[in-house]
Amino acid sequence: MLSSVSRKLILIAAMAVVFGLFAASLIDLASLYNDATKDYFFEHGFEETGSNNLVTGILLDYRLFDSLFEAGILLVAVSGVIWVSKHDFADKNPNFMIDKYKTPDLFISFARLVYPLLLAFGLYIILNGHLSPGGGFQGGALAATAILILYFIDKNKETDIKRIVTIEKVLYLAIILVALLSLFTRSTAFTNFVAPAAGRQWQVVYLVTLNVLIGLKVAFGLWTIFTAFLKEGR
Amino acid sequence: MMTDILNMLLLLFLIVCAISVARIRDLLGAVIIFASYSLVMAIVWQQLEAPDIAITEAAIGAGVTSLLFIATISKTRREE
Repeated sequence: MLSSVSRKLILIAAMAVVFGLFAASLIDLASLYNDATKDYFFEHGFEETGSNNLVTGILLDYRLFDSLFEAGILLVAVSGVIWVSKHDFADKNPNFMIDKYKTPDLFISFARLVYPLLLAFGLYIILNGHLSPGGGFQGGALAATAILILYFIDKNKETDIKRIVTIEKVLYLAIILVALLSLFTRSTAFTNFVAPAAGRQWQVVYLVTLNVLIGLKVAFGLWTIFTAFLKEGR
Repeated sequence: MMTDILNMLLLLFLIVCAISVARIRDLLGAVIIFASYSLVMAIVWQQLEAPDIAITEAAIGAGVTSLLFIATISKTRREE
């Protein structure tokens, strides 16, 4: 066994090496962080992706491979939550309630007012992902929040969790299939299946389709997490 | 100039929120402070010209996490 003094010395030496490497990497910063990618996106992004919102264009076209795994991470997280909570799939009717601290009437009244607006705003964000800020993930999260508010309003709301999980998996497969369609039309995988030559009005079809699929998938995934979470510890 | 002062105030508010959320004993109060932290953070993202992140922060940070934390408190205890 090493003595505590030599252990601390080794720790200090290791930290010195790490900081030395960090400082050495700063020298090349100018060559690492140049504006080449940004300039390329600004020059070609609007024509090649057909999206008015450049962020959506990058997410669903240039970086579609990353976006697929981002959606996959949510799928894994849902599986993890279900495995940890381990409730029976046949079990219905999550008995969600605030036992000691009842939900205030004011909160319920406001929730009834906010619920339709929030759901409509989520759908608006999903459908206008290619025009305005936002997209599938943001809109899906908003729609899922609206569904979560529904549990606060209606205490006896029933949810068949198995059906939601199945729909989410099918939607994820559909996202991958739509992403792979470009393999047949343009012979490169994970990009828009409509060529830029066809015009922006046809490229938008792909963007809206993928935004809607990702939005629904995220909404169903978060809905599953809520339901599994609220059933737990009854 | 005015936006600089606004940004400074927002960042100051973030620091105060971050310290008080760790110090407060009432968990429901901590959740409410955390939600206001997320809301101000969304405004800061908007000031940094990242509206996409701002929408995500408002929906996830102020919406989903607060409601899940409130559900957790209702199933356990309110005091730390």
